[in-house]
Amino acid sequence: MKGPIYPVIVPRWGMTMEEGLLVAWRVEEGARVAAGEELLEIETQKIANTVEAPQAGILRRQVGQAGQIYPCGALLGVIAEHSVPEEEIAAFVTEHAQAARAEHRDLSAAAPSKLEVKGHVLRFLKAGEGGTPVLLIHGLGGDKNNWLFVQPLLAQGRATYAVDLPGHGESSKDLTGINSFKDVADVLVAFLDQLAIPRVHLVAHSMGAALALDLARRYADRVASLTLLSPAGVGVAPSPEFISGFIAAKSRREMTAVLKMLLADERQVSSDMVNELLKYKRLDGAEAALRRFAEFLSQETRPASEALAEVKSKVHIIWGTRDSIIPPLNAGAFSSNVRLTLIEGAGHMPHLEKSARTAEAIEAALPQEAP
Amino acid sequence: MPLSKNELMEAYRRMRTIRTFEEHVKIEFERGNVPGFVHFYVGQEGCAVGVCMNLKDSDSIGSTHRGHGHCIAKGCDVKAMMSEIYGRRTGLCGGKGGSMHIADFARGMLGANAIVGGNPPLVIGAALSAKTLGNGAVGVSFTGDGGANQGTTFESMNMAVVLKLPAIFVFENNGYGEFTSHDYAVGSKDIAARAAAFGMPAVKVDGTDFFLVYEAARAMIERARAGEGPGVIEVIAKRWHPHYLGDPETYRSLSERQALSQNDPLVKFRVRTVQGGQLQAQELDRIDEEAIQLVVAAISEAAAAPFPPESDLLTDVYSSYP
Amino acid sequence: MSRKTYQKALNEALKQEMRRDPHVIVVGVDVAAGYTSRAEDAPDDQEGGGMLGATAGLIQEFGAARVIETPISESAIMGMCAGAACTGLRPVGELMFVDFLGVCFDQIFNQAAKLRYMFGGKAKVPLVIRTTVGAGLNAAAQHSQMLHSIFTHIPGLKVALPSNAYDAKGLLINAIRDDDPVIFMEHKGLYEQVDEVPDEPYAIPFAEANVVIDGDDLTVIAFSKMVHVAQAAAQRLEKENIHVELLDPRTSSPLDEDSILESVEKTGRVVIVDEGNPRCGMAADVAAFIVNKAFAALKAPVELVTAPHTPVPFSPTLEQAYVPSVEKVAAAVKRTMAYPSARA
Repeated sequence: MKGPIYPVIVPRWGMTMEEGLLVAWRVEEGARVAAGEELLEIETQKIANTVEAPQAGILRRQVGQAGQIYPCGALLGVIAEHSVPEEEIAAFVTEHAQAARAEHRDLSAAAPSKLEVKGHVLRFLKAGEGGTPVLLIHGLGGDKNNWLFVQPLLAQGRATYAVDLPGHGESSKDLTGINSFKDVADVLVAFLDQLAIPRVHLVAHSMGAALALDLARRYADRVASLTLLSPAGVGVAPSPEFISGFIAAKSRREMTAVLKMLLADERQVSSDMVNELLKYKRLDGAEAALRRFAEFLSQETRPASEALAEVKSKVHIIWGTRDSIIPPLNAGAFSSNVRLTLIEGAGHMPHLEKSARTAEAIEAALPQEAP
Repeated sequence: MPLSKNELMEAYRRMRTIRTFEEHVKIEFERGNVPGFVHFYVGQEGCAVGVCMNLKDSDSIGSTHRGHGHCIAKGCDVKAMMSEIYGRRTGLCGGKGGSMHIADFARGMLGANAIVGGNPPLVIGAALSAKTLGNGAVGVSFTGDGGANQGTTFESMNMAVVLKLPAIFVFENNGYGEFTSHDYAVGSKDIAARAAAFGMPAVKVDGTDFFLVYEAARAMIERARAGEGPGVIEVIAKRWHPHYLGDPETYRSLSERQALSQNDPLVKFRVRTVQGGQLQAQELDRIDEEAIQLVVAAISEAAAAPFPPESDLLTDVYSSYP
Repeated sequence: MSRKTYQKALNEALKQEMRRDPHVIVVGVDVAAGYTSRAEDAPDDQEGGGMLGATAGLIQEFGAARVIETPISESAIMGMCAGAACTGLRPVGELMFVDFLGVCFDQIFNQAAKLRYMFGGKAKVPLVIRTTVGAGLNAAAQHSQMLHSIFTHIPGLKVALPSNAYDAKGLLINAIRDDDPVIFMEHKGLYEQVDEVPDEPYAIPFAEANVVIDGDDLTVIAFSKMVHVAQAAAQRLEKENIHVELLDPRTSSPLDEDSILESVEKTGRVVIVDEGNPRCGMAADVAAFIVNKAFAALKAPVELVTAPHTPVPFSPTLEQAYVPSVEKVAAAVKRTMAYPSARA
């Protein structure tokens, strides 16, 4: 073999996706692509998104055709340098097609589960098995589906749990007994206790990061590592305009305007995204829960140095360069034991906007474990 | 239980106030100061007051287009009533309802109703609320002999029996449904007798005798409060005035109209209470004067009160919209 | 969240609101499948309740004091509900078929609708009248009408027309919480429609249209079951590269005028689909509003796809011709797109 060959495959977005329609190629066969460059568009019944190049190289083959439907895991394209001979590419295509399909079938399409923890019903989605599990914590107004594109990738290596925080998603909205992030963190730890999970890698976004910091400070022995995406709680206050706008938004128009602040590319604010958020906000108790969490958030004013000082585990911070909700700090703001990865071109939701890149970054920094 | 002196005075006050109110409104209407239609209750005062002296603010009543009497009997503010009839902003309904839709929910007066037979279903609704909330209240529907023949009345009577509601149907037989006599329009010639067929008790009394009405109503209302179900009271008292002011009343003979004032409920009340020693003539005279003063003041205040501004046209269609 | 039928969604809305607020009662013919007079005999499992089963299981949970079956006396039922509403309860009355409105209309349009206004804002009438509407079940002329435009015409009434299970639950919860009389119109042909419906209670505000499909070429506005007809037409037209924007107003009173105008200003072309009869109907009402407020944006006349000016016929072939079809909607869209060249 005269160089690596990288497959471009149909991703599994969310636990129920079985297949996707290849809508169109963005790049021609034979073109040079950069890592993370958008190669093609895929559409399912629920979502439309792009697939990015896993590595840089030449797009040697477009295996998938526009207008066709392919199952998750199917080979759509091949990236390799010119030096790799044609016969090897052809052999790769044949072999890989079967293997990839088998691998992805192992990830059983799971339905969310629920657990009653300290009087709160938490909904969560488990995917993957074994190892030290990853606990995925969303931000204000988010839910476990924010991890739609990223969870399946992380689940290939270990068990993952994406949880709906109290007051969010499909978890119970009554926040009796929750008066601070500490209380929420305690609920999450009780959740882990009930599932008999001794230690987790925390992967948390935005407000979830502030929450995760509290958890990591007080339950150091339960936290193997801390990955913070677009974090609140490290001294940069989230845009108050966004928070109040999000809480107040009642109509499509209002919600669309607010969500445009969230993403680097406004066109990615889809009707579905707007509708799903409006549906969440209509649920009894949802808006009150948002207000409460926003209050907790407004109390997180500690600068990075202080916020991270008591955290014993490794910390990896991932930030979109075009985040206008919580603008990124540069590496200088953090001590040397904090790893910082910037995701070029992403806004406040890198795990949605540049999901492959983000998943890769998360994966790369997770401490390796013996199989 | 006999009525106390205060209660007797109150009963007379209400009846006299109704009489004075109606007589003065008639004058003002003929002068052109009152818009729309008015329907007078003169001669029937004993009916409304006899029944309403058994009721509290938490009890509900529904009335007809001939509603001034029921309003006053239920304790509504006379000045606010007059303003309403004058169409002023200070009226009981802000000038938006007028004589035929006069109401005061704080006093349990669910409104005069311009649709004949319009109030019985609403009143059984109030009775349903009372029963569901368990507050011991009752609903009393006042309907005329004309409304007694409406489908809504029959439906409501049956419904009240089926659901055992604390509802009393008071049929005020004043001899005429609009221009048509009771004798022609009520096929069985006996409104109260219909009650038995529906499955509820009935009593028929002379509506010009306050005490007979009061007693009949008391028994029926207490029975309903105790959860024993609905009942009918038919009160007979001719109206003195035409159906509405302006009606030439060609359907009534002169002798009939002349005989009316010989059966005046106010006179009967005075005679009985003064001769019986419960009240003194001077006390009643004073009430007569106070009633005149109140109504005269009500008229002058109403005449001087502002009309609703144009912006009121659009208010209170809904609680919120959207 | 799980997949539920429209019927189940309505049932859930009623149950959850009755649990939340003891003032909410259900009143109507057959609402307890005959068990009001003998509630203790009502079977434990969710059996029966209402003509189409939307009130199943209520009497078992809430008892005969709150689930009240009545004789067939619509005037007394509707008036009783109105009277109860203005004296402290929050009744949900059932008018089994909207076609029966004739026998009780006074209590709805002269009493319930007007009490608040006539009494200077002193009365509050938090009443919901649930009723079934629509054709397609061969129920013939007196059991198949829409009549939503009649209620929409009356100041003081609000009118909701959910087109799917998610909207059915959210709009009914909102209707019960609303302090004004709401006519809640459930299309008989939608009772088996399935959608993702949250298990928790939620309220969808009135006058908030749902944009079912985003599109740039033409605006289709449809009510109730016609939303599904329009959706099928839109999918067909997508293949011909016509991208329809489909709006479901959800409520005809109040009407989401802003969303309608926003869409019309974007596309400039409008087709309105309504199962009501054409004279003085919702389609005519919305068209007049559009032409009045968005004339400059229009590139073509507004097309109305409605039932004809006839009663609903019985025979299946005739009824099929009566109800607006996918073909008729698609044809109207194409005509509008082709204007001025193709005008029937």
